[in-house]
This record gives sequence, structure tokens and C-alpha cells, in this order.
Amino acid sequence: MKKFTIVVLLFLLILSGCSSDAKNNSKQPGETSLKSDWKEITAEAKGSKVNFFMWGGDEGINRYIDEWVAPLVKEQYGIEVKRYPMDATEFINKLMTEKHANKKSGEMDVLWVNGENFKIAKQQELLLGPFTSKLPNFNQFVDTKSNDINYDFGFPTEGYEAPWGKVQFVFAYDANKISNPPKSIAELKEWVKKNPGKFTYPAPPDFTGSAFIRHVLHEESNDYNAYLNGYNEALIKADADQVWNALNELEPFLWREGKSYPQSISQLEQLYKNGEVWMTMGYDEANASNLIKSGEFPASTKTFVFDQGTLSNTHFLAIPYNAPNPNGALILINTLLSPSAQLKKMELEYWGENMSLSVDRLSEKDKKTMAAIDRGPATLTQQELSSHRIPEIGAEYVQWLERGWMKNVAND
Amino acid sequence: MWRTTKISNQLNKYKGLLGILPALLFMLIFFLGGTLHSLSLSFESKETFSLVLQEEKFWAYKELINVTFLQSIGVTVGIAAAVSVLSGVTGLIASLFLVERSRHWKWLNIIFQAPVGIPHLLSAYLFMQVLMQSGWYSRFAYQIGWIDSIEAFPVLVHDEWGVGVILAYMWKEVPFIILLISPFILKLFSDWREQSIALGGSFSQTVRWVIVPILLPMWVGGMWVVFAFTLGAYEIPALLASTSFGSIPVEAFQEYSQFGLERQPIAIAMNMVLAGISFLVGSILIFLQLRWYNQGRRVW
Repeated sequence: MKKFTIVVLLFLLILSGCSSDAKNNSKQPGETSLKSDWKEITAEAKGSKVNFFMWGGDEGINRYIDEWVAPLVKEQYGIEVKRYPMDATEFINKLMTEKHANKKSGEMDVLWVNGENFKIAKQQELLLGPFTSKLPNFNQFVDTKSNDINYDFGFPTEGYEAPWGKVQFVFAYDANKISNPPKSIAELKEWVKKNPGKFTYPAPPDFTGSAFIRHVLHEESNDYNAYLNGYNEALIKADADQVWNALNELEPFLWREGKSYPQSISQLEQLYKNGEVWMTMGYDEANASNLIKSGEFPASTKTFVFDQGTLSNTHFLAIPYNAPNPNGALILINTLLSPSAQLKKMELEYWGENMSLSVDRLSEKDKKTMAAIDRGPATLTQQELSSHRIPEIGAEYVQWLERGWMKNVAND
Repeated sequence: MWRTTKISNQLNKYKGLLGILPALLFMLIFFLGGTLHSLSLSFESKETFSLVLQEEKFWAYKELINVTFLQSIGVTVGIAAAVSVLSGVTGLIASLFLVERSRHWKWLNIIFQAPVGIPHLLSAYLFMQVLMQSGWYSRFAYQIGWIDSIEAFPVLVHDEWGVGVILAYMWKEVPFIILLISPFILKLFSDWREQSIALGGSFSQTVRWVIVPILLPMWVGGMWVVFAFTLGAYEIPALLASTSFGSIPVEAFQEYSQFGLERQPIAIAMNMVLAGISFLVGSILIFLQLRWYNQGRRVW
């Protein structure tokens, strides 16, 4: 038995030897690239490979990267772009483990982040550093002064992430079944009572459902603007009862009498598609048009926003602290912020999403191209959307509301 | 010369051990290591991430001491127990039937084994597609006039009692039990059937006094595997249970991924509680089995 123990110990020793070898002591490549100028960065990045970690749940978005962006970057800069589908929570966790293990060179170059996961990444020092001022396209085309570029769910971006796109929350409905959609939470309550079983929302903490209950907060709270800065639990505690009351008032008239909620937005979309409910929603103003085009939603689908506005947010691209190819990452992000890439992204064929660039700063030609883009039959006009925008609130409030919903609405 | 003999003698003595060494090391390194690591994660302080000194070691477990979580334990264990017992009984009956008939009906075996190859996630999705109120069966029933509206179709998905969850699990686990025990039953029959007929036993007597006692440890073992799996599995309750159903794997995933880093230890603690329950049930089963062996394997 003694011998056996020795064998086991020996084996463990070998294993532990492996792990200390794996710590590599090379210098961090990222620090040098933040000091280089754009010419050096372009020259250094030539012939390299960039690993782009991003949520992979939308076929159009994936095609945009694989079919349009990757070939362009290959042709212009000789850089190979490889897309890795992964949820943001997952790659932030992975990065955190690498940070704990003091891993100096990782495998991720560009990350698609926003809100909560950006906040964690920045607070835990998982990001390379302020880099947006390096990007020619950022300096030229982005409105660097605007709040939706400088704040991400109430958290200052400080150049650690570059804006990739903007989306706005809209409701979708079947115009054959509803002629006059409700334009506020109060009207929605009335509508739901008249049409029991025909409305529901995804159960928070689902992203879309969580955004829906924030609209209730927006209309029921005394001063929504107070939520835009910092975190104060007393503030939300004071407003919470009104929010839960409003949602509980809706509950008996929801789909399945509110005994169960759809688990995700795709489930709600399926209910809408099957005609079980007459309304759906989404944090993407062009999504309904996309789904009409693919034949999943009825052609009579239209979208609307509340009179007091709907939430909008910007999503961003960041570079991890241990990116193996920070130069390539900068090139890729700069390319994604170019007017041509942003205009292509707006086309319904790929993504249909709004650009993060400031329209005023585009060339006359690009402005014309933009005006000519068909954003689909169900998408509201740019004017209608931008005049009905409300900003997002801090991630702590978001989480507080999600947990509160589970306790006070779902379990009640 | 004598030295080599001594070594080879030694080797022979430990040959059995060498054979299990890879599996044992695998268990030690991954299973034990993983368990210990999770345990240490569940003791991690809320403040670790903000780099302040540790406060309380058991805070994550203390957070779990509340009525809601106790109810969740009840629901999760209850569903796992229901699934394992129902699948075990159905699987046993079906296996006996299959052994009798499959000599003539080979396709029956194939039908019963098909679900084994389908992932749980896909099976949950398929269930949802066919059984929801706007699903295939509901629309079919509506089309041919059995029900007046699709809402009249019974609520089987996201229902309050977890019927959909249990059905979806059974669809997967009954074939698993059959796959596990039916070859064994087939062999038992060919070994014992004629003998018991010669001794004047009927089919049901053969089953009761010969097949079941020999089969029991394997059958219970199979149900135990189903129980432990169901206890910790995420996909089916995530897709098919109602919103406030209280399945711990689903709640743990939400804590882990949605509510911020400082709450991740709670998610791990939830899983440790599940692991503890499953370990406890396993130990009780082993104890009962040993006692049963000592008492001469009497069933009836």
C-alpha cells in the first residue's frame, strides 16, 4: 500500500510541475501597443490572427462577421479574424480565472461587452486600458462627448471600450388583431384587462423581461433621473412597491394567468408566432422586420414605442488585459467602427442594427447611403425612435429589480 | 535472479491495483479535486472580489437558510425521486415485456432505444414543440374538432406541478433503464426459465422469485443514477418548468450568471447542497444493499 501511495504522490508532483511551467513570463504585449502610433500598429499587426469572442446567438450577426468583416480585414490588413461564439458572462469568468492564475498571455483579443460584464471587467482590471483615442475612426466619426458613449449602464467607459452599435427597446404587435396599441404602462394595464391572456413578458432575469420591468420603473417612479448616477438602495426601495403593484395588477390578465412566464425572449416570440399572444417585445428596433423577412412573424406585424419613451443602450467592444494580439484587436475594432462597416451592419440582410457613429459626422455620400437603407416594414423611423429614447440605469439597480421580481411578482 | 522474481512477484501482487490506477487517479484528480475546489469557492467571501479581508466563511450557506430555498429543495428532490421511481417501475415492466416479445418484434427494441441518443436539451425542446398549448398536438386536436380552442388543451408545459418536466425526463430515462437491465433480464431468462418451469413455476413466479431478487441491485442502481442525474440537471426544468417552480439547478445558474460576481459563491453552495443530498441518498442505498446481502437477499 505504501508503494501505491508513493506512485500517487509522484503523479501529483508531475502534474503540479506542469502547472508551474505553464505560467509564462513573457512581457505583456498590450502595453507596448497602447504606446505605439497607428502606423506602427498597422505594420505590427500584418499577417497576424485576431480572436473575436462574442455572443453567437444570432445568425445574421454571425454572417456579418464571417462573410463581410473577416474577408475585408483579411484583404485590407492581412489579418485573419476568427470568431468564437461565447456568452459574455462566460468569457468574463474565463478572463477572471486567467487573472487569478496570473496568466500573462490569453487567447481572446476582442470582446463584445456591455453593462454588467463591462463593469466587472473594468473593476477587476481585466481590460487592457483606455484605447479608443488610438482609433482613427473613433476620433473622426464618434460623438465622443455624448452620454451614451461615455456611460455604459450608468458606468463610465473612460476609453476602455469602443461603441459598436446602439439598440432601442420596441414592442411588436399584430396589426390585424390590435388597431390601437397601448402607448404607456397605464394604457397597457387597460388593454390587458380587456384582452386577458394575450400579453406576457419573459421572466426576469431574462435580458428582455428585465428591460420590460424597467419601463414600469420609468413610468411609476417619482424621479427616474435619480437612477442614472451611482447606486442608492434606499431610492429603489422607496419606488419598488409601486413597481410590484403595477406588475401584480397585470398578472391575472397575462398569458396563462401569470402562473408562468416565458423563460426567454425566443419563447415569447414563439408564442407570438403561434398566435397565443398578440404582442411581443425586444431590445432591437429592427428585430421584428428581420423576423417578418425570414417568414417567422406575420407580415402584419408592426412596432411601437411608449409616448414617454423606451430604453436604449449602446453596446461596446473591449480588449482583455492579456490579449495575445492587441495590435490586431485595435485594427479590427477600428474597421468595425468605419462608416462602411457600420452602414453594412444596418442592412436588414445581416443585422439591421443602428450605428454607433454620429450621423452628423458622416460624409454626404454616406448620409445618402444611410437614408437609402431599407430598415424593414416594421421598423419605426429614425425620427420616431430617437425622439422616444430613455437611458439605462446602473447594473446594481437592474439586478436588484430582477431579484425583487422573482420574490415579489413570480412567487407571490 | 532472485531480485527479478521478487519484482515480478510484487508486480503480480499489485496487478489488480495497476489496472484500476488510471480510473482511480481520474477520480481523485477530477472528482475529488473538483469537489474540494467547489467547496472552497462556496466559502469564498463576498469581499474577495473587492480585495477586502474575508468576513464570514459560511455566509453563502446562511443565505440559503430560508423558506424559499427549503421549498426548492423539496421540489428538486421530489421531482428527482418521482422521475427515478416512475422510470424504474415503467422501465422494469417494459423490459420484462420486451424480453418476452422482442424475439418477434425487433423494432420495438429500436423504438425504445432511440431516445437514449437524443440530448436532454433537444428532448425538452421537442416536448415543448408538441405539447404546449399552441403546439402540434393541440393544433391537431383543434383542427379535427376535439377541442373548441387551443387554450382548452391541457397545460402540460410550464404547469404548476411539473408534469411536463416529469414526462420529458421519463421519455429519456425509461429507455435508459431498459437499456441497462433488459440484456441482463434476457440472460437471466435463458439461464433460469427452463429450470423454473421444470420445477413447476409459472412466468410470474419466475419473475418474482428468481429474476427480481437477482436483478434488484442493478435495477436500484439504475434508479439511483437517474435520481442523481435529475437532481443536478438544468436543461429540462429550465425549458419546461413554470417560472417560480424552484428547481435548484436553474436557480443556481441564475445566481451564477445574472446577479453579479459576489453572489457566485451562493450558486456553488446550492450545488454543494445538492451534492450532499445525492451523497446521503447514495450512502443510504449502499447501507441498505449491504444489509440486504447479509439477510440473504430476500425480497418478498
